[in-house]
Amino acid sequence: MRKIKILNYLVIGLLLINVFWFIRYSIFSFNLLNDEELKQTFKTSLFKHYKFFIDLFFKFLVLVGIFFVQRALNNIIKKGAFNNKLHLLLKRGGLFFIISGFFGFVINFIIPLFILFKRNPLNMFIGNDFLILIIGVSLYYASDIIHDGTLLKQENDLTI
Amino acid sequence: MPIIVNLDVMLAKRKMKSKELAEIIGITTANLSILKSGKAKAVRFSTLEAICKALDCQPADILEFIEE
Repeated sequence: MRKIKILNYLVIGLLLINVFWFIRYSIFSFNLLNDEELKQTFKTSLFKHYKFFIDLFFKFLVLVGIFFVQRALNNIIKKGAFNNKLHLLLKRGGLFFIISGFFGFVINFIIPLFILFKRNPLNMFIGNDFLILIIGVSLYYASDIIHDGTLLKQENDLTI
Repeated sequence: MPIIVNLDVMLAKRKMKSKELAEIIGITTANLSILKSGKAKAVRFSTLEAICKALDCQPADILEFIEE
């Protein structure tokens, strides 16, 4: 349980850092709307300067995903590792990560590489979006395992 | 479930209260209530043995199969 509590504090820290970063990025993105000089810089890119708002939306999804993971950890601390609500929280968190990771990966890697043919694949960084996608799929899979474990625990509890 | 638990009937026949039986066989009254209400998923042989011993009966007196 101590390890889970440490993990919970780490996730709370991550959540706060992301909230702070999200607010900063939002201010930057909305300021960009009034900055004609910067708009010109992104004129040639596919989504123009709206790319920042698309990124902002996907970062928001990651933020919601982290929020669900934090709630899941809180749930483990309060009610134990196997309860009815835990797998739902992990599944929801995982779905947000998957959506954000998948679409982020498509927009930042697939479209520039295979549709626009503008970028050299060796110069591209796919780490973050792909990592988020893998974390999301892992959470989704872990939620299924926890659901099975919950059913087993219920059967064990109802064996007299 | 097609398995019916007739613990209530046996308790009435032996004029014993649920609380007494729970104390004798060493399970909580909450668990005995789960068993009586038919919500239990399984019964351990050791529990069944203790119930039969306490009520002086056979397993068939407690458990009954009724086809649905």
